[in-house]
Amino acid sequence: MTTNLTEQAPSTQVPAIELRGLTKTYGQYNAVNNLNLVVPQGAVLGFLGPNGAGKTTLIRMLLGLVHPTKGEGRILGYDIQTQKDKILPLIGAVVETPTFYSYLSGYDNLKVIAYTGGIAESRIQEVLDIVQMTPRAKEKMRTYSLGMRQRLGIASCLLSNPRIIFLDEPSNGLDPQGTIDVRNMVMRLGQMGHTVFLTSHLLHEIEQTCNYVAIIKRGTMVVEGYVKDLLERSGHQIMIETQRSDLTAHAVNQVFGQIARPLDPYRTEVTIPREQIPNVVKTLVDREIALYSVMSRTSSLEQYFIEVTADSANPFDKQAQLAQVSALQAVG
Amino acid sequence: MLGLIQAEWLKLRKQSTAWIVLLIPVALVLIVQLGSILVVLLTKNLPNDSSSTPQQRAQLANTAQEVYNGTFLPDTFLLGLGVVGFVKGLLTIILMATMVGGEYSQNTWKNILIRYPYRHNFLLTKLLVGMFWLFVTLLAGGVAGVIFGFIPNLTLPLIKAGLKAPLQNNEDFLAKLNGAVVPTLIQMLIFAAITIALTIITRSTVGGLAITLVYTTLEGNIGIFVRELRDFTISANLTALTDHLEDNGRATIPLAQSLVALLIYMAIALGISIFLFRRADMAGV
Repeated sequence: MTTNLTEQAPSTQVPAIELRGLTKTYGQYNAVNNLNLVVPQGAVLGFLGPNGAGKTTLIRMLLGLVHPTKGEGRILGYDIQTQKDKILPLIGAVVETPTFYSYLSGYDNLKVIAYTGGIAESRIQEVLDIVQMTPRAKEKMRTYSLGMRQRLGIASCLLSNPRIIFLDEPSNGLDPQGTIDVRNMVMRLGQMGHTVFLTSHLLHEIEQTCNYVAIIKRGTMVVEGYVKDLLERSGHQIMIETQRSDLTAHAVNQVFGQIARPLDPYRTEVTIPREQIPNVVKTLVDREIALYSVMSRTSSLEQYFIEVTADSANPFDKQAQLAQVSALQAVG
Repeated sequence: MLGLIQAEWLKLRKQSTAWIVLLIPVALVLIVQLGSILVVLLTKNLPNDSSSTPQQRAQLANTAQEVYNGTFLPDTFLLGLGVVGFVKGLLTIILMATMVGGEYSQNTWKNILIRYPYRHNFLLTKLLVGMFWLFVTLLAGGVAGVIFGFIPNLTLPLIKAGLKAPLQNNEDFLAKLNGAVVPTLIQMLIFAAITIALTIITRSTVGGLAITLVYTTLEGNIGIFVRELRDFTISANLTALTDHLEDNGRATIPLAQSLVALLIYMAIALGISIFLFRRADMAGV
C-alpha cells in the first residue's frame, strides 16, 4: 500500500501552533490559564515568562506529556490530544535539561530515540555532524559536560527532521561559549526553515535569535507579537556620553519631550524610537554639545519584559527592577 | 512496535542490573555444585573403627552416591533450573523495577514518550523484553548447572572410591522439565506485571521494588491466616499448576481454575499499569 503524502502533509497555510483557551490546573492552581496563541510556520518564537509562569507546562502539554484540563491546542492543524500519532513525527523537542541514559554512549542514546521514533539509523551520523558531536559520540553519557548534553539534545530533536522544534531553556547552565554555540545553532535552525519554539531566561538571546515573542505570567498570556514591533512599542534605549549630561538631557527633553535622564555627570539615558536617533544626535550637534559616544542599549527586551511581567499591584517592585536593569546596563 | 523492542533491548543489554540478574543464578549454581563436593568430602573420612557403625557408614556412602548421581545429565540441567526457580521472584522484581523505575529516576520518559504516540506499548514492550531476559536467565541457570556439574562429576570419584555412574532413567524428565519451566515463567510474568504496576504507582525503582516484595510476601502467606483465601493466592495456584504438570497426584486445585486465577492476577496488574500510565501527567521530577 502506498501512502499519499500530499494528503497527509499539513498545509503550509495552517499555523504551526494554535492554542485556544488552553488550561492546565493542578488542584486550585492554574499552571496555564486560558492561553490563546497563534504561531505562524517558520517563526522562531521566544516564549518568555518568570519562573513558574507555566512555560514548561505548556511545552509538556503540546508534546502530550501532560494532559490539558480544558481548551484546545493544535500543532500544524492536528489536535494535541487526539492526533498525537500525526503530530509526533513532525516535531522534535528538548524539555528542560536534556536527560539521557547515563550508561549508554551518546550514539546509543540517539539510537534508542531513532528506534523509538522509527527513524533510519543512518540519520544519527548526520545529526551528530550538525551539532559537531561526532568525535565524542561513542563515549558514555556520564562523561559529557552539560554543554555536550545540550548539543546532543538538539541532535535528538533533529533526528526526525521535524517541522517544529521545541527547546526549553537550551542555554541553562552553559558557559558563555556554550551559550553562543546554542544560540548560533538555533539561528541556523530558523534559517533552515524549522519553526522554533524557544523558552529562555536570557532575554538578549531571545532578542538575537527570535523574530516572534510571547510573554506569559502566572499561566496567562500577557503579550505576543514580532520582536521588532514590541521593541518599537516600548521604545529604543540609547546612552549618550557628552561633556555634560544635564545639558544633554535638557536639550533632548526640550525637543522630544521627557525622554532623557542623566545617569551621571557625563552619561544620559534616552528612550526613543530607533528612527529618531539621528535627530537626537543632530540636536546635540546643533547645540554644540561635545558628543563623545552614542551606544545602543541592547537589552531593551529585558526592560519590556520587566514592564509587562512585574507585579502591577506592587509598582515599587517594578520601579526597583527597572532601576536595577538600568544600573546594570550603565555598568555594562 | 518493532522499533520499541529494538530500543528496549539495546537499553537492557547494556544495563549492569540486567547482567547482575543473569549472573546471580549462575553464581548460585556454581556454589551448589561446589557444595556437593564439600558434602562428599565431609563424608569421606568417617573412621572405619568402633566409633562409627556399619549402618552409619552405609548411609554416608549412600548420600555420596546420591550426590554423585545428581552430577549427571539431565539432573544437572534441572538443578540449574531449580536454582533459578528458587530466586525467580526476586530476580523478576529487581529487573522489572529497574526497567520501569529507571525511566523515572533518570527522567527519560519525557524523551521517549514524545517519539511514539501509544503509551501502553512502552509497557508491553518492557514486559516482553524483560520476560525474554528472564527466560534467558532461566536457560543460563540450566546451562550453568550442566557446565558446573562437570566439576563434581569429575572430582567426586577422585575423592571417594566406589562411586558408580547411575543407570539412565529419563522417563519423567519432560514432566520435571515442564514442572520447572512453565510455573517459573508464569510466576515471572505475574510478578513482572505486578512490579510494573507498583513501580508506576510509586514512580520509583526503590518504591516499586520494596512494595512488590512486601506485597508478594504477604500474598504468599495470607492463606495461612485466612483459610478462605488459601486457594486464591498466586503461590497456591502456581503450586497446583506445577503438580498438574508433574502429574504427581498432589494437586488440590483443578488445572483450569488455577490457570484462570493466574490469568486474572496478570490481567489486573497489567490493566492497572496501562490505565495509570496512559492517564499520568509526565510533569517532571
